Amino acid sequence: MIKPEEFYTMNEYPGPGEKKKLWKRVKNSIPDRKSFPLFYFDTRSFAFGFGSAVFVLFFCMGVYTLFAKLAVKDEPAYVKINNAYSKAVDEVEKSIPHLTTASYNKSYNLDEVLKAGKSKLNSIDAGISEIKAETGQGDYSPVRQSRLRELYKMKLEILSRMIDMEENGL
Amino acid sequence: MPVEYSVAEAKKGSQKAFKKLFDDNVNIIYRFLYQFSQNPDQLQEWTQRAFIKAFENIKSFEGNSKFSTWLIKIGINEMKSDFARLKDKRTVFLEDEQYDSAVSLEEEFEWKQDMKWLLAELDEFKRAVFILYEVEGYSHSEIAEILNISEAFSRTSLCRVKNQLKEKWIKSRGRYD
Repeated sequence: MIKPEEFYTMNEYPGPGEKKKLWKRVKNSIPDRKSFPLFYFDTRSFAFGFGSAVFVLFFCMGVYTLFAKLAVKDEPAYVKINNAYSKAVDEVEKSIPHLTTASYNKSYNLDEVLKAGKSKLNSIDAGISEIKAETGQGDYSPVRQSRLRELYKMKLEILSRMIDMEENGL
Repeated sequence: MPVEYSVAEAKKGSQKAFKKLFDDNVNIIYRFLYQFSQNPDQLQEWTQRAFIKAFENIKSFEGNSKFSTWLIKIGINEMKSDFARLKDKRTVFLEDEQYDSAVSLEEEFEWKQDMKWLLAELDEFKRAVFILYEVEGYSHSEIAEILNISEAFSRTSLCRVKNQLKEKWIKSRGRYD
């Protein structure tokens, strides 16, 4: 037998650069199915997947906002008015937290009046909560909406009287 | 990493395992194919295609022979298809299989380095048989599998090649003496 090192010369072998080029071409032509697909990570796929997820997220947010606005637009006028009443009541309550929450340390008479007012407010809040609990999404029953408006009006009236009383120092 | 493990992992599709097979066999197949074309682009093409085909068909490799044997067979088939496509008139690897009993089984054969250029003058089939047996160390049964011939034909072909080489060498020496 002839020894390979005696038969072949150095130029009959591929150089390191040539081997590298050969492997690169072979590698690009064959799929890489790793044994553990769970740990397989491809940067390009990850980037596309992440970008798509962000796009889908913003798309869904946009669709939701659009439908929410359309739903509001579809609300009858008396519902919109009630919503405005509700916001007004919240704003008034926020501006006078000392009247609606704390115990009072004024004159005896004022204290009693304010406590009575607070008690009435609690009753009205209970009524409002009950109606809201009965009203489903998109339920614009005129009777319920009318009752709700009455309650908001009463609440605003009582709050207004309480503010006046405190200012006048009854 | 043993060859069997690399083959098993490559069958599952592991590029890393196939890279190991590539590293272990690229020299063997490249230097063999070099004997049939010195064009670097052609050599790269054949070698690359041999490895790609090997990966694509690795599930059919049963491990009954060496991986290099199987790979060289694929490499030779790639060469054959190129020659056929180019409608090469050479009878490349198409030697008629005939058991020639008239061929004397010359056992005494001494290789001389000068004979390499004489070998290049022979047709590809004879060249392949000689190199696979005398240099790469394959048995006649392995050569029969690689070249798709019978074992007996491999033996007689080798004898024929040795006789031809010896004759040519003696003639060439006579010219310069």
